[in-house]
Amino acid sequence: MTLSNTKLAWHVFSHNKSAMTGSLILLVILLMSLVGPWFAPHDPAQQFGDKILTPPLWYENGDFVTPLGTDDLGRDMLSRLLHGARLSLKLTLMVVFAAAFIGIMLGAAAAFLNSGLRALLMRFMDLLLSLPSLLLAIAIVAIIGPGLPNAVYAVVIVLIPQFVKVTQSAISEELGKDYVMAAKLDGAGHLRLLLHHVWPNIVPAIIVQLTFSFSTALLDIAALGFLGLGAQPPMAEWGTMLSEARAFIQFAPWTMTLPGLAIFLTVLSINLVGDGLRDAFDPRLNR
Amino acid sequence: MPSLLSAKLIRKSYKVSNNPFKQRYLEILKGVSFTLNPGQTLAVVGESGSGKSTLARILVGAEKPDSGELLFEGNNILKNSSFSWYQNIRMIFQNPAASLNPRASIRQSLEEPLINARIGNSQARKDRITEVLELVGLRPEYADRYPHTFSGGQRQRIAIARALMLNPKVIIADEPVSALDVSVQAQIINLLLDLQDRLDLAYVFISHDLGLVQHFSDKVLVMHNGEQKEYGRVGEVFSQPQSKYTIELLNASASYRRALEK
Amino acid sequence: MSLLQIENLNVDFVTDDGLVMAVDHVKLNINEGQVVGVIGESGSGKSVMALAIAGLLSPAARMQADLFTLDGHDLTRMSVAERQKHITSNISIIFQEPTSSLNPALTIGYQLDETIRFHEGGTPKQRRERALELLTQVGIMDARRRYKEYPHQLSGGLNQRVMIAIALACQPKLLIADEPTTALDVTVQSQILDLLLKVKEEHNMALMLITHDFSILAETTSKVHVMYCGEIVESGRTYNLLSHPYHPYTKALLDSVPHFGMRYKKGRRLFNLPGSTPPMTHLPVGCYLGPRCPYAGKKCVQHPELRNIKGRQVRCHFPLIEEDKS
Repeated sequence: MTLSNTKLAWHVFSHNKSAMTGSLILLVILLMSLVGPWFAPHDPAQQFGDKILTPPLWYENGDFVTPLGTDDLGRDMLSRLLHGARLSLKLTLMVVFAAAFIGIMLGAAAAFLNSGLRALLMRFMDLLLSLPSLLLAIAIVAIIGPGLPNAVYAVVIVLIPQFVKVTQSAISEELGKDYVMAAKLDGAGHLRLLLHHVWPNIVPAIIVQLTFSFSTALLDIAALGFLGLGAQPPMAEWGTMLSEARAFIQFAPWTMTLPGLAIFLTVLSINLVGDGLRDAFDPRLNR
Repeated sequence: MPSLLSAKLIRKSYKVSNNPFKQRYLEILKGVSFTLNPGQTLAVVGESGSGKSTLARILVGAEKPDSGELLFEGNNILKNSSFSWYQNIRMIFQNPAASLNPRASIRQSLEEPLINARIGNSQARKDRITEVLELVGLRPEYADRYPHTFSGGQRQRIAIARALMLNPKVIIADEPVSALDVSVQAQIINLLLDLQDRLDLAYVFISHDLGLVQHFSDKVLVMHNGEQKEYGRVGEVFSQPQSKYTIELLNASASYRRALEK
Repeated sequence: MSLLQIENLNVDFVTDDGLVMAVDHVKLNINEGQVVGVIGESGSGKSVMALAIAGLLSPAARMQADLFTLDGHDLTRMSVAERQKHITSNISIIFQEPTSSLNPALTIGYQLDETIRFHEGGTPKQRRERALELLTQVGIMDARRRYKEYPHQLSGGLNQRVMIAIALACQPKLLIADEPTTALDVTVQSQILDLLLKVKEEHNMALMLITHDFSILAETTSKVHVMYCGEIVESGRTYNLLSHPYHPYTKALLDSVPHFGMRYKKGRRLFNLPGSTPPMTHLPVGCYLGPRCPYAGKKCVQHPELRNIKGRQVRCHFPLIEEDKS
């Protein structure tokens, strides 16, 4: 068999049932966030004065106009969820890629810095990591002020240290291996060594970190929204929706369970995919 | 005519404590000298901690010694910054699996020195890879496979191919067969001997196996704790060892012969 | 008198790639006080066989034997717990990596004491005396100091001596040494081998020495079993086997490594087998050595049985007996 590593990884991944289930759910959610808003039956901010707290279809007095019911202001839940999906995922992607970019740059720099500067940078990252990510995000928002853009910056800052650590330790580990020494003796320069030889070997570690950061970012953004520090009403954002609905949990449970379920499913599927990727890229499988 | 490679009193020490007020150094090499001619093999024998691997790294230019001279065809290459080590002195590692990039195809690994030396266009490089793979007894089609699909012996052949890509004159082989199965060791040793005959290569052969050294080498350098205990022709050193350590080493390895002479 | 007698020992594992017969119909007989060598390459099943005899197989492995007697007791008729007890009180095993066989978080003394407490008992003072005695026996000079030290403070050679001391504390009748010197330097290797032979005499044990290196067996063992792909391919008296191997694989093992002290012409090519050991999941049809063997003929598509040839067991259709006469 002459399988390349990527093909081998795909082979392992595609035979992993939970990872494939996760991918499927994630795909559906992504599709919803892409095309959902066009199919949403109503404007997410439109208030139906006569339909306040209409229950979803499967309740006795459900209504076909608002299949998933309405909230306390008579806004259609389905439309809000679909628009929320786009907003939440867009924010999450932005946050994660921004954090990954900065983190990888810093991590790569750290791997080549002299030991004193590296220690300084890495201990600062440890300091950031020692605080719970949400607490840190709240602290940052408290300093720079609430609102969606600031919440996004805060979550970016919170996510950076993990990328720095993963990149730095992966690069340092690779640099100590024989094949890097061999490449050095083949005459490869520093930049070529890093980009051409080391980089492909640390990509798996970074992909895995990316998936775990996705779920952290999604949860943190939603949590900031829930606490009123992120997206502000009337924006359709899953965390904000949860927060607005918490007064009605007893007599209109759908207003809270539906956005909660959306967050839960998304995070679950991302984590399943992440676990699958980690197994697929496990070097022990490269027999 | 100057010899191909000669070392004069190579010394190397490492800092072992980071305390700036109490710096301590560990001497790894305490003055090593030898000369090597084309087609010759110099064996470096010693136990772990003898400094033989450090010597190997110095000889391929991965590290600089603290003092001493290293002459390649008469030029002091430690002082000559334009000397390109990788076109003249190459290395074969002990563990072939670790010395090949797991995510690069064999072609990519073999191409690397050619690209760095800016030699040939892609067709010329392809031809060279085919040529060298055949030289080490592998099929050219193997170039597009990945390291994990090969056995240990095949991987070591690939590592040897990589070392040969740029027609070097000296190859440093750091325990090239000790990670391999016994029945495969002979294949690699025979290959190295064939290549030496054909390409007039000089080897620096680092090993702890005296049987192999005796079979494979012209000269031997015995090292212990960074000191050069003995240096000379294999036959002389092994039949009339001068240092106490060499005698101890020879006695420890002689059990097989003693058993058959019983 | 026979100490260990095994017939048709099979060990197999179920892996992702199918069933693996790691040990295939192995027959073994070790007498009291005898030194027996087992030689083979990685994947030959020699270590799995050692673990099977010492009762240390992982639960995933299945073990079967037609006959398995140890010190006069038939182990196949015992319950699992009884068998385990009988094995641990009669067999000790030491491994290749002494430093990783010892617990890095506990002192040498504690680990030795634990074994003594389990096997002999006694007051703490008696146990300490016994531990120091054992450490001295295995050639550790300053036993009192070493007793309080941790494995990482000792060299590989010293740690292997400690492992031997722990093995002796069980007062075994059979000591299995699985590549005991492979990880050690040449000069230390011969010291450890000498020590193993010395304690074997003093404690009247049998010794089973597992290795991939013939030069280790040459001087120490009286009998050698050669393993390839889970099977014994040749066994016989060490001297005869070394001087005239009958099986092509034995010859390859002997001739593919130049032995120190033998006179070779510089540049002479070594005898070698092409290819490499087949993976245990994809063994060739017929003789397992067939595709690599320079002497193979048509007959080799049939799997050879172990035959008795001049007092030796050989698993080959074309044993190298002609060379014997020339």
